[in-house]
Amino acid sequence: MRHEVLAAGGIDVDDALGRLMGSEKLLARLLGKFLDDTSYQRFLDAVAADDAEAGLEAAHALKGVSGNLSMVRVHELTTRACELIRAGDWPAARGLADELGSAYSSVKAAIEACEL
Amino acid sequence: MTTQTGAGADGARASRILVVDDEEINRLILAALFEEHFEVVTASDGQEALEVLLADPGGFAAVLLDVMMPNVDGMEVLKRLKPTGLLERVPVFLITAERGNAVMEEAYRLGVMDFIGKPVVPYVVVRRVLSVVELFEARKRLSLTVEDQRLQLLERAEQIIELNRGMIESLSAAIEFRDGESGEHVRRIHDITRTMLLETPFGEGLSAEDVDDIALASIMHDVGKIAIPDAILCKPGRLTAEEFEVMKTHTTQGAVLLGRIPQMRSLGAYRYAVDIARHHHERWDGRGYPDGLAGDEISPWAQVVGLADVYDALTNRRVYKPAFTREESLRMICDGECGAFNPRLLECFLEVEPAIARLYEGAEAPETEGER
Repeated sequence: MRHEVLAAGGIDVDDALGRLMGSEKLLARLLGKFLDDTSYQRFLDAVAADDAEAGLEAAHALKGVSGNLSMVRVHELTTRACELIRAGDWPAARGLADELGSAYSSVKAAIEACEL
Repeated sequence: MTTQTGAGADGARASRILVVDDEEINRLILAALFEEHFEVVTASDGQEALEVLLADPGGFAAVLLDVMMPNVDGMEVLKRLKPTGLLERVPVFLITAERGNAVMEEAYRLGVMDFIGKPVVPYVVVRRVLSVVELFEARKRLSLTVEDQRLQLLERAEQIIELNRGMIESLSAAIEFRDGESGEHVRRIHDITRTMLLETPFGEGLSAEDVDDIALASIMHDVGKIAIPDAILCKPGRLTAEEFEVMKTHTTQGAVLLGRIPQMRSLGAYRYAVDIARHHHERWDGRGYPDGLAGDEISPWAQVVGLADVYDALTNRRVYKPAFTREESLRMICDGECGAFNPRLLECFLEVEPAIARLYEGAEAPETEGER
């Protein structure tokens, strides 16, 4: 596992490993599972359908997973999205979609580059 | 539901915890944190969690529960667990990034143990869950110990009550032996008194506990005879006027004697015992002794024991008289040959007398004497 590639992709590897008691094997497994996680796609679907409730659900799920895997930027953006939707500002949350897309893509590319 | 084994390095803790989260990645992280300490069972939504928990309510040391899940969410799980009482026995931790909001307040109200923040901080989560699990286990052990001790105390209290009763019966019977009674007399007075108070309107207003106390007290009605000299107590045939005056003092002597036993005073039966000992020879028309009380001045329990004593003396042989038949005994009582009784008391007595007579049947032939 190449830490610098994952770090460049927006993952705080040391923080994530700390949560997994230092197990690189488990981190690799979980990052592999992240690629199959549907919450980012569900958020995009919710944006397309203009469905605030589904948007909150997807953003919240992505927030939880990205937080646990120390994907710093993705976690920040989803946290803000959740706050905005809960505050009733769905349009502003929807406006984060592009930024979230680029953060998500970086993470995804880094994981794929490591061939986990 | 999936189970990941990891019963613990020491193998001492065989218990399981339930991790509930709709995201597999989150479940795997929590499972990894706890598999060293517990067997970790996972559920991917609230419905599954409820099924697992309710199928085996005692089977988990703790539950880690995500709040936001599709269908049945974490709060709904809490709401459904609340009425089962499970939340008092199994600590439930809510996993949430949101703190200090209305959800938290509601969760505490429903009985959640604590919150685990997301993203999880491993040593904090593990420490906190392990501490609470230990606390619950200690509490369970303690409550089992307390329950054990409570049962032991209860058993001992019952033994003491039995012992008290046994000693009172033995002492009273020993006194009866002096004037040649079998000891059955006190037993029968006890049974007649109990029957009268429990099964006729004469016992109205008395609780079952009162009746037990009165019946126990009735056993001691003649304790004062211990102070009467043998020459009088055991004299066959008629007593002289002077002798009869001495004999009559067994009522007052009995009350004094009972009053001198300090331990007696704490017994519920005490005040009845003193009253009965002193007044079981009073009569409805005021012509009894020692105080010449009349009518309702005589307590109901003293009236009942007075009548029971006369009935038992008549139907059994005494040193100064033969045994009379039931019919003859009842006629003598109703005709006032043994002094006047409360008409209502007699009415109640005649009602249950056949049942009382059946209590005597099968008992060995009475060989008794001495109602005076």
